[in-house]
Amino acid sequence: MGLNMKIRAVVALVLTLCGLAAMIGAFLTNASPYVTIAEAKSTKGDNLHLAGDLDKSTIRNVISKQEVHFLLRDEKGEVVQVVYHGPAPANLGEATKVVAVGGMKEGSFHASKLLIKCPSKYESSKGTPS
Amino acid sequence: MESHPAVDWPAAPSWSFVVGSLGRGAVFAAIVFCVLCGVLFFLSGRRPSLAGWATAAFFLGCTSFFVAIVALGTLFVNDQFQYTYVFGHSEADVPFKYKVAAIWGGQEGSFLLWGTCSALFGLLAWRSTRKFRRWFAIPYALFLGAIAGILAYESPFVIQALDGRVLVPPTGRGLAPSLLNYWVTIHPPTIFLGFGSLTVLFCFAIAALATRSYDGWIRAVRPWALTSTALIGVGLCMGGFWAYETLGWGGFWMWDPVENVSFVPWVLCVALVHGAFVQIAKGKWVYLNLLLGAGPFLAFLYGTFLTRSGFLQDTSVHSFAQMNRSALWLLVGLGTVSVLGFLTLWTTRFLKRERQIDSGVERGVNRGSFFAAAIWLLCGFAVCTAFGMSVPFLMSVAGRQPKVVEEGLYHQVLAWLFVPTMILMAVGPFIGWRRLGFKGIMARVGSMAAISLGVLGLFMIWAKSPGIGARLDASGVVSLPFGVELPGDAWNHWVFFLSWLCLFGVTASIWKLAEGFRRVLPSLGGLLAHFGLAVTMLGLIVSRGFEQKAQILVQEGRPAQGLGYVVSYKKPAEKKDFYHRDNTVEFDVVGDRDRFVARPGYYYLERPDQEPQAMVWPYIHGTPFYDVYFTLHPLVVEATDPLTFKPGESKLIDQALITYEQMNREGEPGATGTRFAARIRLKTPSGEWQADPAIVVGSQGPEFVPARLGADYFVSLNQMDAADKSVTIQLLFVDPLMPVEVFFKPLTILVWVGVGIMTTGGFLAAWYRRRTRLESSDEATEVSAEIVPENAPQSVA
Repeated sequence: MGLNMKIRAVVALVLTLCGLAAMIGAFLTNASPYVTIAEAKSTKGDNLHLAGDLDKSTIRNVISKQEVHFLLRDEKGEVVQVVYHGPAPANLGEATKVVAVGGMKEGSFHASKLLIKCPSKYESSKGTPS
Repeated sequence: MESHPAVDWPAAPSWSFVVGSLGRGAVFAAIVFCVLCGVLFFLSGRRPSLAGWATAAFFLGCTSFFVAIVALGTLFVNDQFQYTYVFGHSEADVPFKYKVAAIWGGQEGSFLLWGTCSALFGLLAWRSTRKFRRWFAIPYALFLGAIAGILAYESPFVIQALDGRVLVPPTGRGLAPSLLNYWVTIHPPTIFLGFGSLTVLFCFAIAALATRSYDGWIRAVRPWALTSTALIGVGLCMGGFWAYETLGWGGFWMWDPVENVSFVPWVLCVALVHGAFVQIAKGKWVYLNLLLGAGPFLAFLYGTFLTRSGFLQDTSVHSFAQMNRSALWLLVGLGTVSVLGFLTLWTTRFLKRERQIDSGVERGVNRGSFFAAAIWLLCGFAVCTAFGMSVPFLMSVAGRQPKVVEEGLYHQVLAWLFVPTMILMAVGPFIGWRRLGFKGIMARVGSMAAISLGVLGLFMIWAKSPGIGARLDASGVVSLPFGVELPGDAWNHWVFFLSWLCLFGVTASIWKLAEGFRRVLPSLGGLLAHFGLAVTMLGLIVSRGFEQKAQILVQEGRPAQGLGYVVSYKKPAEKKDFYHRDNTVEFDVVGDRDRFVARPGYYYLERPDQEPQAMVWPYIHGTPFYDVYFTLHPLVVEATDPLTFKPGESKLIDQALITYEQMNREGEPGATGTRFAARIRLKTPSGEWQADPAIVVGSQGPEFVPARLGADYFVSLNQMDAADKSVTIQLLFVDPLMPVEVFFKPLTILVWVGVGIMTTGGFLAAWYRRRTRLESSDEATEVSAEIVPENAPQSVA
């Protein structure tokens, strides 16, 4: 391998490593964190992922504001009011677990996106005819 | 099962036991034959006579998968719900296509489909393996044996018995309602055919390393690499169409882990196809291609582990069944052995390779440089996507706070790779093997760049035209990693720039095709694939980049306006069955561009002991220039929350003043027929009304009698306290509110057109390269035709 080739290889390697480092840094720094309610209260940002159990009895459509309100209980047992900005997703009523994406504002968790986890038949393939 | 009226269920027919046993037996037979095949082929090195027996074992092992899936299909189409897997994924009264789709509707069936598709490609590729056969068959058979082993733990042939008797329940649980779309029958088998074909690429690479025959394998593997690329590509696009037509969020792709698990192998297949071209033409990149041959299969194994192990349970919109622990360990073992085994073999061979004497560095770039850059970029796509989808797993392993990479972040990172990739795709076909400087390159592609800029200008004029254009929104912001944002009109400029990249690719492909059909015939498939990809990307970028969205509330007799359309509910002439899955709700949509009737799907799913569940399907009004995407959300009946009042108390809800005046009783307390009525008064800017909702003591318990409150509401008396005469009431809409989201999506049709062209090109390329023994003259023709433009004065083949 000639000297020029070696220099090229080193430059290519350095560029590749820099690119990889930038990619890893971008992903790890900017990835959206999953938080508990306590962490959400102390973390800034509007892209926090708050996962928890949905209290179905508290689901409330606020028509005038096009919002859906409900209570969410996280894995630590803490409860917070979630204000989702948008029409109620079709499968909200059968959700067992919800991931609300947003941030804390005035004591409530304001979500711009809801990921709904449902007890789908696709998932519970271990069911028996009972 | 005890709580069911099981005594009325018929006993399972005897043939169903035969079919189930056949299926179960086929799975065990697959294990035995595949292991036998591997052992016999291994021993055939010293005793060549064993090769014939090993071949027979391979064919029998593959056939066992077909027997198993046919047996499972037979149980599904004949509603044999005594089988747990059939019960869990099928129903008696669904169309035939969904009974077929239910075969792969769960974990066990999807593994069986993967194994069957792999077995099919093993048989199809068998003839082309020739001198690689022994070392091709050993890993192939062991892989199939491992899949059969997983199926032995996760068997779809388990019978549910009741007190020692096997009875057939009248129906099963069925697939999730949201999956019931024609794509569930088409998309999974297509993409699993692609995944199955990856085993061929992997085993060819292993065989090439084992036999140290690095030249012959690449010709043999190229048609299969093209087939894998085309199959996974079309499978990915089908998944996107499925999402677009059913999920109601107006997009095709959101970088969900399930999508990424398919995308990474696809992009590595594309890299292999390009690497194979250079190796066949110039004999270079031998070891890189071996890595690229194994990469797609190993990436898919890794993705399968990620999605089935439960690490992504909370970070994907898809639901994943967690695997049986033993089956998961078998999958982990398969993945570990595959990765470590291949890398050890590859490294050993790489370190012992014969060093090539390089003739030194020339100035400028040639086609090889473009291919090298393209392969690096494609591998960059694969690495970035694989890392992005692994972030939750890595965080979990490191014991750190879980994180997830969202769609926007993927776009921010991958855009750095997308821009140079599109330029390379446009320019590459015009660059020959002779090195060129910048001037030389511009001489060849300058005209095309100028034409594409001209087309972009026309496109911008169209997009900004008030009547017919794309309705640009100047408020968009371009987000970059590390919190950097470009405000103002940057979004539109960014979308126009990305559109130009695609138009450059489109122009270059058309130009190349126009240079002479016969001359480019060998690479026609590749050029069509490039052309189709550029058109698809243009459609995706414009459709999403210039998308507009409005949320409106429609009520009977009260149209609403959004995105320039007036949407009014169209009362049906006949009563609709809101419990039928094909039920639709109709809306008249009138705009300045056109008018149409939107028919979004809407029905209620009955569930035991629960409220009916609203199910919705979007309606897509497609035109050549734009789609209007119409999503109806669950109807809203409740106008207020339950409200508790004391006598004489008033509450202001929005602009409505609600007053509870007094309680009136008719009858004796506790006596049947006694009526408690609450006098409710409602005052709004448009008028004042009163009503008396009541609770009547009935023989079976309290009966609730709501009352009409003006033209728009009912009021119901939910609860009353006899002691302090307080009441809980709720206002309900007479005509339910219909929340509607309307999306305006320009040029979405390009996505469909582009995918069609790309798929045609992919299969055409695979068909043309199906001959593994390419004559040298053909190769020379191919090289010169693909590399040298007809009118290029400096062209040298």
